[in-house]
Amino acid sequence: MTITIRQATIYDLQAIQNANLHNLPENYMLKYYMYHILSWPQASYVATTTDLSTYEHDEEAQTVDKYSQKKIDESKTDPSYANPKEKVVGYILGKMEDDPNPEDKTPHGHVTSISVIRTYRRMGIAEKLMRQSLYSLCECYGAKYVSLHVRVSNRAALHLYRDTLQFTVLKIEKSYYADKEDAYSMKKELVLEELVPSLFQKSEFVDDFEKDLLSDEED
Amino acid sequence: MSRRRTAGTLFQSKEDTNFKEALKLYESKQYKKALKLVDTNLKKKSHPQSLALKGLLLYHIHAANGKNEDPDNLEPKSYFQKALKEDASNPVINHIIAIFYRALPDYTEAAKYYKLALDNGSENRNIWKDLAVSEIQLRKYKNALAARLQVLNYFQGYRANWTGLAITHHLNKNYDQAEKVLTGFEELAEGKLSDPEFVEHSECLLYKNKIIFESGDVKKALKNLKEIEKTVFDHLSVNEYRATYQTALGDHKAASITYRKLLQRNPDKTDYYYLLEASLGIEQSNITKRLKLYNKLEKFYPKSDPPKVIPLMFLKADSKEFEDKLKNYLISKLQRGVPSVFKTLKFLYKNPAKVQVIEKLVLEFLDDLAQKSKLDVDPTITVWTLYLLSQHYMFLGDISKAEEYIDKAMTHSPTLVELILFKANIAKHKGQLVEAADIVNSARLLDLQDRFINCKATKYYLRADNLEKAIEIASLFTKNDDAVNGLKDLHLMQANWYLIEESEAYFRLFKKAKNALINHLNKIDSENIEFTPELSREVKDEIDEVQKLKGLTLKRFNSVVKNYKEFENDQLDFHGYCPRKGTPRAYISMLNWADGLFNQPLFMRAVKGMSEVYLSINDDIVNREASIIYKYSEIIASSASKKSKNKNKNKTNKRREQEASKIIAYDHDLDVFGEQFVNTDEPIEKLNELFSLTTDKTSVFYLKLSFLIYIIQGKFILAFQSLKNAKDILVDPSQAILPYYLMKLVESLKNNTDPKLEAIKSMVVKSISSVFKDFNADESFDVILTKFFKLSEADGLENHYFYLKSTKLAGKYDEAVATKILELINKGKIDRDLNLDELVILKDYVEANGSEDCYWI
Repeated sequence: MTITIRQATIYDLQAIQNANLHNLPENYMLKYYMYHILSWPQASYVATTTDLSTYEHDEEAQTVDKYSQKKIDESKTDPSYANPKEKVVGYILGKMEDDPNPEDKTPHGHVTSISVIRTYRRMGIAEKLMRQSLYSLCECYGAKYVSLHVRVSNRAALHLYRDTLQFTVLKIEKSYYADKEDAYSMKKELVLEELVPSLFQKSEFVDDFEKDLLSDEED
Repeated sequence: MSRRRTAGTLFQSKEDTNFKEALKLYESKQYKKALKLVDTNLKKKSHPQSLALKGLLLYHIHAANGKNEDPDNLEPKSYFQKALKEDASNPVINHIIAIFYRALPDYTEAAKYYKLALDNGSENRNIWKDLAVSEIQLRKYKNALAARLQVLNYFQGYRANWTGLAITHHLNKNYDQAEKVLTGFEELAEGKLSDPEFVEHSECLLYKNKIIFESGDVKKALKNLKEIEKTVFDHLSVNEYRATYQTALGDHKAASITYRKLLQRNPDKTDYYYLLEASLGIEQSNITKRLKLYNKLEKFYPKSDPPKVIPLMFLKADSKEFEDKLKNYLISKLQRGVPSVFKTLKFLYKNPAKVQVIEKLVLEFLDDLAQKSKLDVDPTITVWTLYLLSQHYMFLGDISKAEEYIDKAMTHSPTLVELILFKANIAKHKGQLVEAADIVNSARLLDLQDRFINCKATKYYLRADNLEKAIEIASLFTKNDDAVNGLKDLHLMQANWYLIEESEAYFRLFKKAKNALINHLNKIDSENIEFTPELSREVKDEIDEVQKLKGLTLKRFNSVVKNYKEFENDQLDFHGYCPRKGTPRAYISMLNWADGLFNQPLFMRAVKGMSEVYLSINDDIVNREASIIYKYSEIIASSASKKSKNKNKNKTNKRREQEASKIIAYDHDLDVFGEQFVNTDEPIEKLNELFSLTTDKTSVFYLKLSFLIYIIQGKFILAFQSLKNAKDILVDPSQAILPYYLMKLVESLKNNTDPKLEAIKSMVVKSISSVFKDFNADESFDVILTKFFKLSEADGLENHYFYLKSTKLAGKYDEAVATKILELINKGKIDRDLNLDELVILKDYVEANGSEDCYWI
């Protein structure tokens, strides 16, 4: 199983809704997710675990016994699966500001919801989802900045947005959430060249698209 | 709206003025005010348009108080009938009725009346738009095309109408026409687009490119892609399309470069790696080349998962490279305390040699940690290592070792939620569902802010059939407003995971209660126990409980079905919205997604559950005379005096009212207990209605269920056809399931005495032998049994079950096999072989000595 990050499609929405219902208290009907993906198809991403046996077969593997066959069939009826080979373990739901009377007329994006299933944390998934989404918001919709809200008690998320992704805190919004908790309102300016996700691999080796990938010479 | 414009406002009657005013009020949703005006019109003389509007207004007023949920509420329709009787060709009336059906929703009727309004001369051109939307929702693309052509004809100034027409051509597979329409607008708009319109423009250009590709002209698509590249913003799509086209044209070298660019943009997408390999012409068996490639890619993208994990798949278990790569991967994850490391390696467990390497490495690593001084080792690393070992042994079926390691880990860190969760998982596998739930709950109490662990606890309680505790916990995170719990919110938010689990819990409780009741009655019957009024009341309560659980099972499963119908209906607004917003590509995906909705596994899971209950209701109807429950229900009904009946009824009503507040699913829920599902004389019709929603008719489940329905209906040719198709798709046709169903078919043929079916029956008998070799319907079941059924030691519960059912059919119920099944269950085979519901069905069957009919679909 590999962890895949990829653009979300309509086929992922039910699994995203399921992940959201498992992780967060702010929930939405499917139509709201559809509204996102059908208005800004490039803005949302998912993280999935991808079953490699759909790509290739391990020849040493024993033929699938009835037990594993059964397991495979059952997994499909679990609502966290977007398709038989992929289980959704995280998502980011992004949009452009579309309030007809916005406070600020500069085109800008907003993160409606982002979460990663507890058992898949500490792998940098939320950061990767965020970087892909920010890049697309900037590239496809010309977003000059992106904004989001985070619970003041959510230290892990605050750390990610402020320290890793360099968001700045604009203000505290009192009783923003239904349970009356305050929210930090945060914002990040977007510059396309600085957002290329692979930059954050921090590798000294960069593919120049020319060298033969199979040659023996060392870089 | 009116065709009689010539009359002019000067001569307009008072009624017409009122009607116009009422229409305005309707549009601003002031239904009650509008109704007053309409009623004024209808007081003195007839005004057909007002009659129609009254129907529509009543529908909206009823929507606010839930009256529309009542299937017997025909009031709005009665006004339409009256209106049509007086003026059937009035386009305003037609239009009003169309709007009603669209809201209902019944798109077939809506389209019919939109069309009628237009045919009757309505000059309201917007009706063409609404007609197009209804036709698309119905997937009648030809009709939609005719409507969209009119729309563009009338409203050329809007890009949405060009895009909408192009989409409709595309749906009709008129690729050339679709392209032409899109180009037509591009030419008109050349140089005239303003800044905010460029996003829409970019999407439409890519849409046209996709259409060119789908038309089959790949070269043209690639050329077009180059032309539009500068104007298009979405370079991810540009490059993905380009790579596909280059591959299709055989230019693999170029495709490989494109995939390298795509990887640089997103090195976390597994697809790209395999596509890159293919474009480089590397065979999957060429391990040396692949290793070289992935070593390089890992250097470029050290923070991504695929270049590290894919080699674990293709490297040989006994190679040094495999061990090295696995070690690097494992240890870096353990050191970072990644809880999911076992899950990501699970795919390797199909290969026993690789499992051994994993075990060796992890044990060595644990040893190293123990050797080092305590100061040098972060204690959490030891904990995660022990956790991994526990999961490892659990997967291999070594429960005692799994427990040993999880206990060790928990001694280190007793409050780590992940560890406690796994401890519960082990208990679950041992069949200790109640204990397992309590363990998860103890983890939940450690982190009350986390909804994930809250959901886990909820789910474990549902699996343990403790519904009260489950909803109590789930309600801590729902919006409960004035309700006593969060059940309504879970329905509103379409929490299918909860609904399906609760349905299945109700199903298990229903089965349990029904069996207990039957056992109780059998005892009373066989031991001649005196049926005192007290005992009568006791039995009556038990019967009521079974009925209630049966109703709630169907009701909850239906909540899932209802959500799927809602998803289907959710498309509606987007037929008009997407052409306006300029997102035709995403829109086309939506149509394809919606087409497959009722084939989704979760939907089928609900159908499966409902079919078990509907089939058993049908059995109850067919075998009413022989049923002991029916016998005692009659005794109770005839013996109770009218007075005591009323008294009891009042008492029960009070109790039910209290209960209802805890299980109510929707505002204005008129059938909280699901009685309308249970009190049916036509369970098979209801099942068929549900079942007909699915369009994929090739799954084993579909064929099994359709077989059962057909033999009940006496449609023997179709039943045979289902088995014939099942034979072709069964993974292992030697399983007992197929011969069992054949015997069942033969039995139904024998039991059927309809002389009109003689010819058909003998034809089916002949076909059976020709398709299923050696299966001779004229032979005795005894002979068939020895010929077709061979149980082996390794056979799972499913095979044992079908074998047992076959021996029952042959009149030789095999006690030894029944005992074996119970043995297997008690060995803790739960979950390894079956899901919980199948297990319940199986246990029921065996414990009732095969007398209670049950299904396993």
